[in-house]
Amino acid sequence: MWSYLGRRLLVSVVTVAGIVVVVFFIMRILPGDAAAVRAGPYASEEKLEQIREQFGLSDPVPTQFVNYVRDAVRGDLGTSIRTGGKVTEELLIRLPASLELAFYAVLLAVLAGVPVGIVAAARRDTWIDRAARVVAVLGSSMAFFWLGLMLTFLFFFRLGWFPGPVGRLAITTEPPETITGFFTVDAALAGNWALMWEAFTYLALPAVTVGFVLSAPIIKIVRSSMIETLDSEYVRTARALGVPHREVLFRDGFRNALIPVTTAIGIIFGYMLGGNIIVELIFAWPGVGRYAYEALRVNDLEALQGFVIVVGLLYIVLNVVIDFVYSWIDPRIKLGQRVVA
Amino acid sequence: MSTLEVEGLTVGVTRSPTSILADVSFSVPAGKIVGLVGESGSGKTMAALTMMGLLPDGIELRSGSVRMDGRQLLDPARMTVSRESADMAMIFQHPQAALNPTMKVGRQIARVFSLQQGAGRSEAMSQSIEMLRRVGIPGAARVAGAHPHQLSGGMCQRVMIAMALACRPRILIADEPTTALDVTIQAQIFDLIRDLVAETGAGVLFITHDLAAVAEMCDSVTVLFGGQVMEEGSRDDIFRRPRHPYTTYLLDSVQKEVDPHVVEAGVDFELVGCRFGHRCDYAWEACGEVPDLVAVGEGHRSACFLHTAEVTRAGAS
Repeated sequence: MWSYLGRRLLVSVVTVAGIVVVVFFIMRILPGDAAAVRAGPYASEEKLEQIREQFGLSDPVPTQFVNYVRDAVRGDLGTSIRTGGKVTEELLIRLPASLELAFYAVLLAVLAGVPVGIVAAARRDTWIDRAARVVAVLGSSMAFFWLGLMLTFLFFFRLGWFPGPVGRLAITTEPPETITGFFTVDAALAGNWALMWEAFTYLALPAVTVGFVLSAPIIKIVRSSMIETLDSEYVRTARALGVPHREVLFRDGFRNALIPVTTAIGIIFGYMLGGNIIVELIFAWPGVGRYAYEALRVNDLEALQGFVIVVGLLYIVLNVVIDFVYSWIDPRIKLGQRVVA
Repeated sequence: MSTLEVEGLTVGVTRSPTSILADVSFSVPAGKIVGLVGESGSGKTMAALTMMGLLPDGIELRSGSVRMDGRQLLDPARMTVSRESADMAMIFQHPQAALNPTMKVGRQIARVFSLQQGAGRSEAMSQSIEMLRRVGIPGAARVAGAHPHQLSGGMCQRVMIAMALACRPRILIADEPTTALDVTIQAQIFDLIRDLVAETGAGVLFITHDLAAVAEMCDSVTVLFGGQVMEEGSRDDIFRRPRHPYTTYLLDSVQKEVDPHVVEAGVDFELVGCRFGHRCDYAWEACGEVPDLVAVGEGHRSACFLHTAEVTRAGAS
């Protein structure tokens, strides 16, 4: 296992280096001038020159690259030309917000999607199966912004069951002391149950919005891989030997459908790593997606670069975790061998 | 004494007139090995799955009777063989694919013991290791802790047989048990099945397309084509005194090159009458009807108009 981890680490370094190079040079090819955006429309040429000098934009590109890499290795991803703050710090504040939302959204999607997919496969071609497929189509054709607005309208504006879309907590509420960055977890660790509850109520609508849309691919993959395993010869064997229906469904059917399901969950979670720009905008969620969006609008090169690199790093970690999960759920997979799922 | 008696089994495709098995009857006496022989698509496996109550979706049992010692196993309301009352177990063609890939083989056998006898977890496990030993697996305790992908095909088939035996079956249905294995292993599995028959007195329904295996293993044989029984009789009847044109053709196919056009013709399930009709050298107008099985010797019956025609001709002259 350790040799596997070592090899993965080595490959990861190469991957990250690749990401840095590609991102850096693509950013330099993009049209637009960040200094002009920062200085405003009436800035003098001297002022522009001064800003370029300050942010190192007047150096030759290779020099910029060397400086950037030298700092990045030390964990300094540069300075945002938009806010003037350190990119690393700004990302680290916003990342937990996105990850917390992603975590609960994927959790909801799995908790809803897996049972629905199992039942749909077990009761194939009955009304339950058809209903599940309708839900899946509905979910995958649903726009985040529409669902988000509708949920807000109904549950905040009309019914008043959940708080409005103003972010992770009420504006007047002091956030918990940062330990993990997940407000629900930090509040619980501080023993502040009221605060934890509040964090959950603010999470509910955005998490349901994203979770509903993400449950669609999970329903589909669980259903189709369950149908495959339930048609397999080993399920036929289990039935021939009189294994009860429920045990066949879970121990022989679902257990062997876990590899494609894990792959799907991994892809979905990876897709959520960079935050969800639309949902973060609708719910005023202070996440990295919105940060990247703002950075992109004003050509904030270092902020964007930092965002892409951090998300890339998270993606690499996620993939290692998924590989471990694979080897744990399927005895045929040993770490270090390629997985074909 | 007959243990398993199958009569008039008719199985068809749902919402279609096509029948995959048409009026199939055979019996498996205790302690005997009965061969069910035929080429691919002849309905051998369908017959087995029907008896196990495992017909796939879209295939339905239309009529027939499956009796164990005179007790009807067929549930007439649901038109399926009820699993609870059946003392039958089945082993399959691809042993590796027939075992759960994420479950240790010892556990797979043990859970059958738990189901059949309500044995506790550790007791079921020790019984399962004992059973592995009995089917001739060296180092049974070690093998019990292995997953199917770590075992060879022959080992997996032994595990499969151990699972089937854990059910204490009175009838063992073996569906092409050695087709996926090489010849040496095949001989070992055959020996194992024969030993078990001698030991437990169970009857075996041995499904295969391999005539050599039939000649080696079976006491009696039922020849199936296109879901119809062509001929049935003792091993010697079928191999030494075949009466049905299809049986003759099948035996000939082992000895000489077969005209590929005949082989490729396959089975026409839409065909009315004798399904072998369009491939048979002797076919004439009468073959548009389904011939009855007629006795052509002691315990030897064949379904062909040739026999009745001979009788008529003999009577006329």
